[in-house]
Amino acid sequence: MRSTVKPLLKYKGIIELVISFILAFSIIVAYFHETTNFENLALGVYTRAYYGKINNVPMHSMGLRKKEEILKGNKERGAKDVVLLIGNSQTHSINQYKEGDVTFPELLADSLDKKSIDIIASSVPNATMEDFYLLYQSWKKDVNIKMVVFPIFLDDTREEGIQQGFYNDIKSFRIADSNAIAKKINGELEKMEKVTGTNDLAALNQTFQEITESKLDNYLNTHFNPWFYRPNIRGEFFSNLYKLRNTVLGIDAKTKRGIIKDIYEENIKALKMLLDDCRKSNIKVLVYIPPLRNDYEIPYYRNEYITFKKQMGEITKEYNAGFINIENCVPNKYWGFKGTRTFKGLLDIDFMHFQYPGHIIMADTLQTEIEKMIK
Amino acid sequence: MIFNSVTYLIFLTLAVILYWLLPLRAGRAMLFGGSLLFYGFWRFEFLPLLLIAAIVDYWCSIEIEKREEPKSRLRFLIFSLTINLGILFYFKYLIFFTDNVVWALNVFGCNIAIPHLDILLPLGISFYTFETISYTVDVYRKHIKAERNFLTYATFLVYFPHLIAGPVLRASEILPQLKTKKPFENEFIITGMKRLLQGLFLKVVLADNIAPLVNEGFALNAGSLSAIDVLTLAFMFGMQIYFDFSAYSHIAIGSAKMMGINFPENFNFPYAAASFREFWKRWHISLSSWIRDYLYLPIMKTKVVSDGSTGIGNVLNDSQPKRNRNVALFLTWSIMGLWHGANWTFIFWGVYHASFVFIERMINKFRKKTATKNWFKLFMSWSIVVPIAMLSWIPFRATNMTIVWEMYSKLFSMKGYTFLGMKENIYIVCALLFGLTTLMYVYKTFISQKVQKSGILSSIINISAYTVMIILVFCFLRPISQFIYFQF
Repeated sequence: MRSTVKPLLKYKGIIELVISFILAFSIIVAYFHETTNFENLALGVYTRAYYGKINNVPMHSMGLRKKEEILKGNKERGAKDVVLLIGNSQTHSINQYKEGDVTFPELLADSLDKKSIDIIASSVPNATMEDFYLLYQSWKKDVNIKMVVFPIFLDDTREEGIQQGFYNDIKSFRIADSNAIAKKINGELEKMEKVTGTNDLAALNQTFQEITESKLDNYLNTHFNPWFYRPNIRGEFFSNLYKLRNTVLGIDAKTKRGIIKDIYEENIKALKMLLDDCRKSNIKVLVYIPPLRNDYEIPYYRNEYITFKKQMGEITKEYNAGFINIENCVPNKYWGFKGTRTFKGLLDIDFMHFQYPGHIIMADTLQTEIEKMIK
Repeated sequence: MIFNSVTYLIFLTLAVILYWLLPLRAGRAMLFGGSLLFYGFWRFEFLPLLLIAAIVDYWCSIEIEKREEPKSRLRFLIFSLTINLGILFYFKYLIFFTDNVVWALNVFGCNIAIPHLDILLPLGISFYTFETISYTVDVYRKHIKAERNFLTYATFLVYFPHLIAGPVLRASEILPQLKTKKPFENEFIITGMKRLLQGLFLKVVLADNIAPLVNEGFALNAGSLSAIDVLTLAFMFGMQIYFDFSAYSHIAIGSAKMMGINFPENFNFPYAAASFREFWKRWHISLSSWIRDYLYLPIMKTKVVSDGSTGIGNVLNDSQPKRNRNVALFLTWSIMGLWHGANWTFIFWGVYHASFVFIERMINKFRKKTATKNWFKLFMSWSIVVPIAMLSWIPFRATNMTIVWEMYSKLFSMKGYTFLGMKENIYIVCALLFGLTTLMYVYKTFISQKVQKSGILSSIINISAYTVMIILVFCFLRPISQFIYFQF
């Protein structure tokens, strides 16, 4: 016995390392072969993303992803004046989705088509006011915007800068303006390209190594499947960490989210720049406080939410923009549940995305307001 | 070349194979050529600077050794220092110096515009300049003999594992290892790979994923932060820089180990320190011992008899001569700060540490009479030292002194402890990481050795840990960011 154990002990280190490599690569090969749709994963089961079309041509996209096709559609329809709808995931998501359901931008586009108005919609999950400003500037460059319509979510004023998921759509875009917020956004875009984790080879920028690393990366992506799926696994890893956090700390959809003062103020600055630009460009604006289900205690601190709504009213008034509070326009029965983002239970309350009938109500409500403003 | 890349892993594999296959001299030549290639992957145009440093100190040290007359020896030493420090000053400090001179002149009524100087900092210049200076000084002090083979000396200086961000090596540690070749042992590869894996894990899994949270926090308006935010950001950046820099050292040590070359340890759980002296025996050990031997002791006019690498803390005790002691302390630390970067924030960081070492000295006078070591006292010291050490990272990370003051001022306002100004995740991640780091220290110090004796159990723990690390490194290995210490 002793004679067989001794040589094994001598090679203990190498045996451990070899077994670890075999185990790790078995796990990698076994599990790294699927692409997850993170957009739907973030929305949760029972909620699906839907981007509207007119005659099968896109009129709504995530960020600027389908901008070219949307512009082509607008041109084919006679390059009509545009009402630009900007939003977050509420604009492109349907709770309890069933075949044939559509979102309110498409419904609005159908109704307003008869009135020679084209609807174009762009939405980004958890969009900040900087994202909105960027979307607005990008569309303004290419179409004749008559009116801009967008919601302000208290939730999203907790988000900062430009959303990572949006970055790939706009990385080469720069705002041709010299105002403070344009400079800040352009600076952030440049920084994201060079420094942050959005570019896998960012640290090699303009070095000789960039060439070899990029070639090796391409080679591995094509010849070694697990390498190709690495971004997916990173996403899954963070998603599970997020679930673990929620499970351990008992965080769910009902958990109160407070205002983060500095981030909130940065968002307000961007909002003001957007409103100011619209005023100077003679573009009408409709800002709305979005629908929120009220059959459960809302996930905000009451006093903060009241102050927020009041402040939005004041700011829009200052810039002569339209303002409506439609937080109660979608009845509670048209809301739903979403898959839980914890390791416990199955369902959680969805405070953000409503069902198809809710989209019909939203479209009607917004149509009335839009028609009032651009009659 | 950046360590956290596929290119480096291939480069290292080839270098290790060739090193063991080739005979000693050819292997050394390969290491020299390979190291230049390694550096050239960043920018070839800065290679001549490296070679100038190598040639100047190779020649000067031989000339110094040839001569017995002190003045003549000193002349060559001064020549070497002038060239090395001159190059360092031009590339690293000229912009800072010019800006401050122009600012001072403008204060006195001159109306001068700040000239625009477009100078790119060559990677690793602070590290290889210190290494080459220490070599010439050691020859001057007659601690070592001058190396007569240029290739051997140049290989020591440009040897790729330590070239860009240390450890700051001494010629006496590495030259003998380059002159002979140990017989190949499996253990070199195994230990080297383990260190490499640990380093990559710390860098690509931990440091790179903490970075966005830290960046987000420091991008906020300092005025809107709470005291808890300032402390959280200090701890977060403290951990980021520790993971990042110790990762570099692990990879450097591991890479060299695969060729049978031993580098000294550079980190030893710095956040387990219960005093500032201890902190500097545990953090960037090779730099603090360099500063001690080549700056602090000469300023104190103390004769240097040892070149051991045990940290600056070793000489900060009462047995040292008292002459100029406090002046030396503050001067040394200001230079240490300036070494890290040409900005007042770094000088402030140095003075901050000097102040606490000074305070600790004062307290120690009293403490020595009464102190008996016990766990409670150690714990209390640790819980005071660690937050203070962490708060020192604020000037290290902030872009200017206005932000530094604004952040520090938050700590003295009671209102600052009543609200949170950042997203909740950052506090959770901070607590988790600090807890994890503390647990790792407890495991390594008190449990690891007992577990290693238990055979099967230790293998199960090791295999599980390596498997997790390999999977995570595989997922996260991307050269998305440089090592923080590259900028120094």
